[in-house]
Amino acid sequence: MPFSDPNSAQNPATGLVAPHGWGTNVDASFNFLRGAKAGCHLTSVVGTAITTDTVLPWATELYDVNGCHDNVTNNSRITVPSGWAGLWFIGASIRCTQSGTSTPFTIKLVVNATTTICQSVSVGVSLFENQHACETIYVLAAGDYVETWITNGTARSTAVASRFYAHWLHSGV
Amino acid sequence: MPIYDPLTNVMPLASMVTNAVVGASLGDQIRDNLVALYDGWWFRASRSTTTLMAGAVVTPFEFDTISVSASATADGSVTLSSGDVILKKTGLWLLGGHWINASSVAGPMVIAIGHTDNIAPSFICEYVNDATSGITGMSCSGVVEQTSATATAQLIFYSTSSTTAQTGTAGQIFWGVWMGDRP
Repeated sequence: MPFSDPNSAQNPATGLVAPHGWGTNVDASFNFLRGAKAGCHLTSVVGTAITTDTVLPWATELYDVNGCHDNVTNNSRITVPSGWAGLWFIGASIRCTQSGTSTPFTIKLVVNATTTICQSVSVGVSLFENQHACETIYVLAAGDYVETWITNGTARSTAVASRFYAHWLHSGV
Repeated sequence: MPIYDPLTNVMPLASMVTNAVVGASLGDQIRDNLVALYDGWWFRASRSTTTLMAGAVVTPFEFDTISVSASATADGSVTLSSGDVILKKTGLWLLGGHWINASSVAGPMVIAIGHTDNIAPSFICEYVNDATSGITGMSCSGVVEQTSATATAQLIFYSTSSTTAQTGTAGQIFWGVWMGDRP
């Protein structure tokens, strides 16, 4: 529920007694603030071959509040649901199985397939797994989506046991 | 605007019960508290300049633009001063940042976040990448309890090699969210 100013609905200044509508609005706001917000936590990227800017698919939800992800359709995306524009906390932790060579492993968080909002790189040692994380906050509009883009130096690596999450924090103003 | 108790600041509960009245000021404070909780306190700073990062020297990024929430604007709790992010709100801050380089650079490179109440050698977070090539970005995040009324928060970049100097291109982001008073 987006913020609704109780005083614009019915200001106590206009009467000596707390108006019913004002109280109802305040009550609804408090209930919203203590309730679950939009957000989701995704797991299990399975068998994804990684080359340059590979968009990871996410097929398992730990939870999804208010429908910001679909396990099948556009499952690479966390999408801001209608009514949940604002400031979001977004992060991902990716494990990438190395293919035998020491190559840079880059994780990006990308908005609407155009804007990189977080980027980090690690370089592993031969035959060791790479694991990397990136977190940030960003103001998103309804319909905006965020994806995890991964680049690895070879085309034979696989991301497993990974996480991708996003949570609404504030109205963003 | 701070979170405050309207019954303490405006109208004692006993008076309200006696008078069966909710005054305009009480209503305004409740409304203001709601607005603050909806908006929260946060910032996101960025840079548009390129700066040479000296080797073995702890170099705080200097930011030239910052976006702050309405609450942070209203109470002046987050400002930018000489490239530093100044925080004037006590409590828990979740801080994070990253830098992006258009071309790959060589390590060892370190990214860290410093805060007046938690400064080197105990950074809020610190991450080193010692790859010999291919580094195009680094990130870290962590939580600090701010006890000082005014504190400086910095996103820091340095190399552990005295001979290494790198050019960081635009793309550095430093962000923070106030998480509330200390539990």
